[in-house]
Amino acid sequence: MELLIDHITKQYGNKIAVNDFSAVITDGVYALLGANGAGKTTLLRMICDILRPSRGEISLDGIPIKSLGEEYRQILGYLPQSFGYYPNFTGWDFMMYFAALKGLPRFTAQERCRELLELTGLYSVRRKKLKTYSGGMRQRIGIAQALINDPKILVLDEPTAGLDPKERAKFRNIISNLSADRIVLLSTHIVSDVEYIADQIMIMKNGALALQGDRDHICDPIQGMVWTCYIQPEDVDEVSAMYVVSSLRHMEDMVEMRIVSQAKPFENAIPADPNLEDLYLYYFREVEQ
Amino acid sequence: MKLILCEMKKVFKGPIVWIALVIAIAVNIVQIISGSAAPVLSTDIQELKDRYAYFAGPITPEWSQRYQQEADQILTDPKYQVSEEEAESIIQQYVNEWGYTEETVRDNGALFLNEAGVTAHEKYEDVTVAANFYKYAMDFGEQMAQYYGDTYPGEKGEAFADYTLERYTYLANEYVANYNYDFGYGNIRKIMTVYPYTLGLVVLVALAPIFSSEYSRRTDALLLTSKNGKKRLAHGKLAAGLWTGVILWSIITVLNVAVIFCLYGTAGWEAFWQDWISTVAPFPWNQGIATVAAIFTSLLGTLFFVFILMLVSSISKNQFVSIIIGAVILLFPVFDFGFTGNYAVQMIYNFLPSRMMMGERIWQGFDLFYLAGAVIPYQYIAITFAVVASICTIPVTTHLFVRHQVEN
Repeated sequence: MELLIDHITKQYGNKIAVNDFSAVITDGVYALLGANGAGKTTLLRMICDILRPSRGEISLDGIPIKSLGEEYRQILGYLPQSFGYYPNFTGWDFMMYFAALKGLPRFTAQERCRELLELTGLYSVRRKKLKTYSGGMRQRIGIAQALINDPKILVLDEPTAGLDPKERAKFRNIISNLSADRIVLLSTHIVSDVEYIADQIMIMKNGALALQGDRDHICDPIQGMVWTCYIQPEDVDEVSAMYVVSSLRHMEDMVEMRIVSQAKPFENAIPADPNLEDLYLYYFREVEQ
Repeated sequence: MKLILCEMKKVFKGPIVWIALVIAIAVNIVQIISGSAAPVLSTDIQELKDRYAYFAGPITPEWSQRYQQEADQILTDPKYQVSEEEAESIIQQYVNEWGYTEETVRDNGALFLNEAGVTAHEKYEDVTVAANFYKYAMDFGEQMAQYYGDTYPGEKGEAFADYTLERYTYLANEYVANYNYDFGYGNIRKIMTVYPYTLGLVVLVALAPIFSSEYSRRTDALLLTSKNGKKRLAHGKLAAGLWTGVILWSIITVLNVAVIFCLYGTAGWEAFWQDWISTVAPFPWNQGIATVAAIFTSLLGTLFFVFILMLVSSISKNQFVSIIIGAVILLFPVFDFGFTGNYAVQMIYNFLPSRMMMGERIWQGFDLFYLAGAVIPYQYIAITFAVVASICTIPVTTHLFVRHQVEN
């Protein structure tokens, strides 16, 4: 299965939300990393065919998704960034409604809903109204509805928003288990969500694809640019203003800082292996500057 | 089917629809009991029934003559007369204050009836008017035929005049008008005149958000990315809206009919319908048929409003906007805003859902359209328009929902 995103652009008046974005997506987990306002949600909406691109085309195995219509939506599962719900529906009502919308026969729907509610830890509260659910519970039911039809293309926009660390870890496991024989495309600005599960990472900046690579090589551009430094506490602010600081740890009488810089920042700086967080901060610190 | 039931569940799950329905039913029942001059006490109603039963029957020359004689007898019966002094006082009052001649005053026997006489005679007032049914039909028909002949030159005017005379001549010469107690049927039609305020508002609250709430609530992205979430869902919502309209209309109408028939009884199906004041159309209906026609017209009007409302909902980005626009469409013709005397505006109102929802209103008047050489009463055109327009909204509403773009 191959999803081709071919020079997709979305323009609102003078504002370009997605700028000539192209990518080829096959089976596996694709992470779309970017700051708020980078165009991730807009891109994902176009991939889900609920937003018309200004230019370009998206096709699945050579056929435009617009032409596929129902056939495309049959294999699609989508979790939007912020989505509404029906306050007076119970969790079970909500799942059965979406099972009907996704064309599942009744008995299959009941089995599937039970399975997914158990997977997301919501089975015990399935008879309670959605308006009584916490934010995290609603997010989990959103994930559950995205999986109802066992989609071959799963698009998740900020899926871990509102989840606590334990729920986020569970979510990562679910995605990892699902990734065989399907396309999983998830957008986030939380690096740790995708660091260990993504096969391919795409960094989006100002609506365009800034960088793409697999997990093992995505950090190659900043190889040799990450340093561990030990600074006096009173110098922390000054150093933070001058360099991209990936992390900071206070020790007894010194501060350990992880800095991303092309040149060695200090004499005593020790080279370190770059990680995805370093890369993200380096790319988006450049935007702010 | 599953989608339709799910959509109906969404409509009826919230409390606001039920609250609106209960209020509408309560308002209707209060209107039935305390609205108009209709009596509501069981003794009053029985008295009415007895009075009408005495006169019940087909209006024939013999019928008219018999009751006219009885009415005249009351006028001359000494036990129903005021004293001579009182009579003199009445004469003087009319001569001095109102300028009548003494002879004219003396000719009006009703002026000299005592309380008992007035009570006895007023039973015959309605009968006396009813006795002129055929005369009024012929007079009205001739007047309208004359009007059409004068107003529309050539073939059109002739066609209108011929059609008019034919219809009213039938009513005057062939139709048999029956006189009887008809408060049950009359009140059923009367209560439907408040449907835009009661049933209409329930439908508005229930269905204005059917599409627009998905946009404002941000469930649109989930729906539109599902296999059945576009065209099939749109059709499901439309079908759910149709059934919701039928159910709400049925609940309110069945309750109204049940309450009215319990209070006023079911007698009078065969009684004549035209009153020659507000109801002048030449349809040869009786009370029963007029009521059935009104009931089905109010259903049609309700469904017409349902389809327009769902179209508005699919266009609006926000459920409050769709409620406001829907309320304007519903209530503007009802409030009239000073267009009472404007013929063109009143004719347009007949094509709007609220007038049709009232049931009888569109059937009461008389006006003709001339289309492709045929003379057609406006009522048939209004009904056809409502059906065609309702059907036409379906693809438009579907298209608008299917093509909806999910943006920030």
